Amino acid sequence: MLFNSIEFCVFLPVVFALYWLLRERRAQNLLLLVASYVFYGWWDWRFTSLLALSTVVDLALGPRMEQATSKARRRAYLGVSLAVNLGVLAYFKYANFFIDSFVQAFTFLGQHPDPAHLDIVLPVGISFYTFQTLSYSIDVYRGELRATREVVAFGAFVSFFPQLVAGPIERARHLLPQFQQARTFDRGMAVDGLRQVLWGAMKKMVIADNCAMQADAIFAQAGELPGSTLFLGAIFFAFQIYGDFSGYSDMAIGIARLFGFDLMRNFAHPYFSRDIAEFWRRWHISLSTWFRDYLYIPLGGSRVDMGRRIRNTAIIFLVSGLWHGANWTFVVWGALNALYFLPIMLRHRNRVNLGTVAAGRTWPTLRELTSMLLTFTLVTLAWVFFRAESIGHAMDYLAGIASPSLFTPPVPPRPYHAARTLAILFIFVLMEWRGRESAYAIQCTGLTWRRGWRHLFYYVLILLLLVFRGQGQQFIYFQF
Amino acid sequence: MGMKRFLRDILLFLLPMVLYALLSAYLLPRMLGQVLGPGTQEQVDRQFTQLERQEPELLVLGNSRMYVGVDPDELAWPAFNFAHDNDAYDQAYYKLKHALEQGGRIRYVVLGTDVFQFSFVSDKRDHAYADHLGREYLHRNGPASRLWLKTRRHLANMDPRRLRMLWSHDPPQRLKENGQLVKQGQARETDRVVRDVARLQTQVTYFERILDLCRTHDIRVAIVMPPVRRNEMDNYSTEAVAAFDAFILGYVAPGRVDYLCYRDSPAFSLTDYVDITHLSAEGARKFSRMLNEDLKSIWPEADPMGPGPSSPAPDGHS
Repeated sequence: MLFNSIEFCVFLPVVFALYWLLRERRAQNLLLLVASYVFYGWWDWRFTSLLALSTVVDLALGPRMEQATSKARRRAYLGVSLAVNLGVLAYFKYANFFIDSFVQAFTFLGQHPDPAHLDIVLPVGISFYTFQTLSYSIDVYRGELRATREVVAFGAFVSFFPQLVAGPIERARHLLPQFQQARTFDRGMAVDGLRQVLWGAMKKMVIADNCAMQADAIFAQAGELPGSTLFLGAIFFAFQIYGDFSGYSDMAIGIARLFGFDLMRNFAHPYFSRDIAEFWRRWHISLSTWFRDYLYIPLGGSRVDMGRRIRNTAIIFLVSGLWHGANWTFVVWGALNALYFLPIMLRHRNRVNLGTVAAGRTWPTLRELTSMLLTFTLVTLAWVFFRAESIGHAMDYLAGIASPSLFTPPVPPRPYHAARTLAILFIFVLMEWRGRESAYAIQCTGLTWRRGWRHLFYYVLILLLLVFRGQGQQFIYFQF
Repeated sequence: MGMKRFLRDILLFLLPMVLYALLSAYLLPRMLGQVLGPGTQEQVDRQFTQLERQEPELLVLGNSRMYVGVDPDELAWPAFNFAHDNDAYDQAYYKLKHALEQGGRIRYVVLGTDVFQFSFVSDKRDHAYADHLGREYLHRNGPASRLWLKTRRHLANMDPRRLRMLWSHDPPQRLKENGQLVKQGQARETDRVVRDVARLQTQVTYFERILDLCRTHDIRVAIVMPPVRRNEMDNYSTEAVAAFDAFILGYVAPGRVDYLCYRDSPAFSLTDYVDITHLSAEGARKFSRMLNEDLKSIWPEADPMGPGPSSPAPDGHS
């Protein structure tokens, strides 16, 4: 079920009403559990079994891990949890990738193996909920979280529908306790949640879906278009993926707030970053911090010699690339970001830009503007690998950009729609800039206005959303 | 207290939208019908009613390209165009079944196909088909609710962009008594469409079911691909088109199932289309006449006018 579908427009009010009618925490958790399985099963009910498997395994292993008297035994239980969760992920997401890579490698060496290609359907959001349940197992293993025996609360934590299929990837120690305590309706929180849902829908349906139409058309005809158009296509894709993913996150966080849950922030206006390190602190925060907590620090983090730091950083970026998809294009995308990041790290400049750009001011300085544009350009060029169908396609695309035709006027396939989308993007960037110190752009807009004006502002947004929405597209991040 | 105030505010906020919803559900369709011609529900209802009245011998099935592109008046048999926008083979199968259950004397089926025809599953018009094709159709992909389909349709109709259509300058489309939809407009060189060549197993199954049903009822089938514009063909590689033809030819059975392919017919130019993919009224007449001649050549014994001189076969004609 998509957040921007009519089905969800009915599903959400029904679940919301029942949830607050129930009042009792355990009953609310049970409702959320059932609703979440309905939500997930809407695509394909068979895959709810994977969700249940992950839940049961970690629920069973958690208390055993906690009670284990020896470290070896605790480690063994953790190993089982990792093997089951990552095993399912590896099978459904990476089996064909590894088989194909194996075949390609042997073909390159003159051999021609012919293994069967598995007919596997990728379950929606498997990477997200797998990482979320793993955070529980690892936290219990480390003794940072008490194991739970509350089946329903844990099941609802794993399958919580607002963030089940595209994050934010919650830490068990942050979200699970919220299922274990009573929740009371907070009007301010609910209203703020609705506002965030509205802004998220705007990002997805107006920004992402319109940019997608342009990016799809330009990437499909890359060989015939001048460099300037290809660069424009990459910019459209940069905003498509931002609108798509951060829009989903905003809707997820907003919907969770309607039920009294606080989810972690996932995006912090990343395209206003002044360097790549800042960008990665602001983009897909829940995944970056997951890798930091559960991979980078266990590998030694930054408290090791420079050689191992470089190795650890490279591992994080490569694994992050592979997490996004079973394709070498994602690995190259990760590697490219590592290449961007390493020089900053080697010069110990990766924690220079920690605050919000131009905080307390209306406009950035020329230096800040230049840094932002440079960072955005680097990020946008890396996105070409993320969007392209193959490394060859990406290389051809980048070669097309780096040609003399980069300095000719762009000729997008649908000029009127492109011009309209650019105009929408311009307004969107201004609104994001204006709200860059808030959790989302319109969080503080109109709070001091009279109710009539405030409602009018929301009506205008809804009208713009309905009038300028692009053709409905799947959320990109569902495939991860 | 907080909840009460929240609900009151939400209801107040939603009130104008509810009023608009009522407007869009009851008034707007009538107004749009006057400007644009019959809407989906009306088209479907009228097609089913007209089918019952006419008792055709030849039934045309397929997607919008057949719906707009085949004029039964140009065919030599009592024919009815039962195709519709977005119809895939599951819709075509249930429509054929329905026509046969009505006690019709159908002896021939012209079954539209396209390179993309197996690539999609559509339930966009189930709200309208649900009234005619019954429970089996409605639940073909799993449990479904007629009420929900209607509600979803009403909600979709709230799209404010539909209001813009009230000021449309295009002449209204027209549904003829023979089931064909006539569209107005003029195609442009720059028209584009995105097509997919995937072959979904579910559509292959329904395609085979149609052929089985025809065999059971001793109905002769002509699988027909209407003319396709160059811009649309740009979606497909030569290999994909060849593979598609080979796939269809695998079902050809002389005397029972034939394949008539007008995809690359040089007889059609930009002026014969109203958009990227649909023929104009004149283009449809031209195509239907060609189709009629070819049908007479493959079904000579069935030609009401008697066997005549065989006409030249179109490109790819098998």
